[in-house]
Amino acid sequence: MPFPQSLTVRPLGLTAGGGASGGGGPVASGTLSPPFTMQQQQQTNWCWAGVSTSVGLFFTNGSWTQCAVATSAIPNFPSPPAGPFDCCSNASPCNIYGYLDVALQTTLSYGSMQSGTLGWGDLQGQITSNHVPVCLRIAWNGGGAHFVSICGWSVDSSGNQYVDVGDPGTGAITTQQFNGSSAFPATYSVVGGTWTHTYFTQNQGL
Amino acid sequence: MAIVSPTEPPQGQQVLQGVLSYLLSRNDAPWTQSALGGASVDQVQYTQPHMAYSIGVDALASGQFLDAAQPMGWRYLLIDPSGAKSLAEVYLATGSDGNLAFSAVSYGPTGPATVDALSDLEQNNASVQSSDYELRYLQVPALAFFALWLHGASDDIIRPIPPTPVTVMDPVAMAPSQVQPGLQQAAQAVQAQQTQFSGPSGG
Repeated sequence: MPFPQSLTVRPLGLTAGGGASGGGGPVASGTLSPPFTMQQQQQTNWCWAGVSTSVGLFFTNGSWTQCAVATSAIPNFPSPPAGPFDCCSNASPCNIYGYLDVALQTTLSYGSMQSGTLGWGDLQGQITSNHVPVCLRIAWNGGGAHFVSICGWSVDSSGNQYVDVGDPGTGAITTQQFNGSSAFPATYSVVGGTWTHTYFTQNQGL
Repeated sequence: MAIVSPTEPPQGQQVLQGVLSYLLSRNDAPWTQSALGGASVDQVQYTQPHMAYSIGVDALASGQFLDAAQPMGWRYLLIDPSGAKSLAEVYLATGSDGNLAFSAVSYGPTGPATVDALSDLEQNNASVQSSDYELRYLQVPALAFFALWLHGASDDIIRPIPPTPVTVMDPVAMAPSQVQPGLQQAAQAVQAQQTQFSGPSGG
């Protein structure tokens, strides 16, 4: 299919190896090794399954699948719906909102959780010193809530802070401004939201 | 007759250049290097931007749709040197200080899906071939809904794009009246989930 005529394309105006006229490159950064990959959630409400499965696979502490995680985790939710569940055979009854702390425990990846956000220094420490992703709950502006993972950070020469966010909604990484007038997650995923809870991860399969 | 984008904000290219300079030096970010695919940064191109909109779940659940859509910022696509595909999408937003600022760069499927959907609309949609529309982007992440929104003088066209699950909406051009009932139902289901699973739940 031809490239759409309606998209007017222009050179960006960068110079190879020389940066750009718009600003400097990062002066410090940290990412997880091996690289963290986020699975796309396999059901519309399975962000908790996508995040916990991805974290468990990062820790290589099991052959986790989202449906198996859901089957194990749902009976342990507070006030769980009536089962039994076999989410790999019939996912539809399992396509429900869930709790990330329970799902992370299922994948042997739970450390602790706290209400509210995590400061920049603590976030850097989790990724660079502890070599673990940080998970969080975002309450969307206008309703709904979602879980994501932060797997990297960087700071540019102007002092702008960035976080690398793995989102099971798309299965992709987004680099988002962390500080400043559009601070994370105020404009995250277009609609934006509020960071309500932080989940520390830990490889409990060691 | 065409799909058109609004005039680019005056500081857009300068802000965008700062972002790409940042991408260039992130050798520790494999998703960046994978997206660029070895392309030399001096050959990376960008599209004239369009506005990104969103609608809250609560508004959708109450029966509102495009009348409740809020403009959230500018969306640019980064294009590979051959001019054939999208490498990433970049969002700029007006910050609390009133200045245009970088918000995010995303390496997900919605950039390439935008290119594919626009090609499809230009080639196959009779309304697009006979009338002018403003290109807009519509995202409701709480419902896993991603779409192009063509806004015309007398009508609108909604074209869901991947990764919107087909269980949510088929990837075909539709009138708003065809899209709204499904989104209202999905939004009401989210509200019910939040009520049933109280506390720090999510989906």
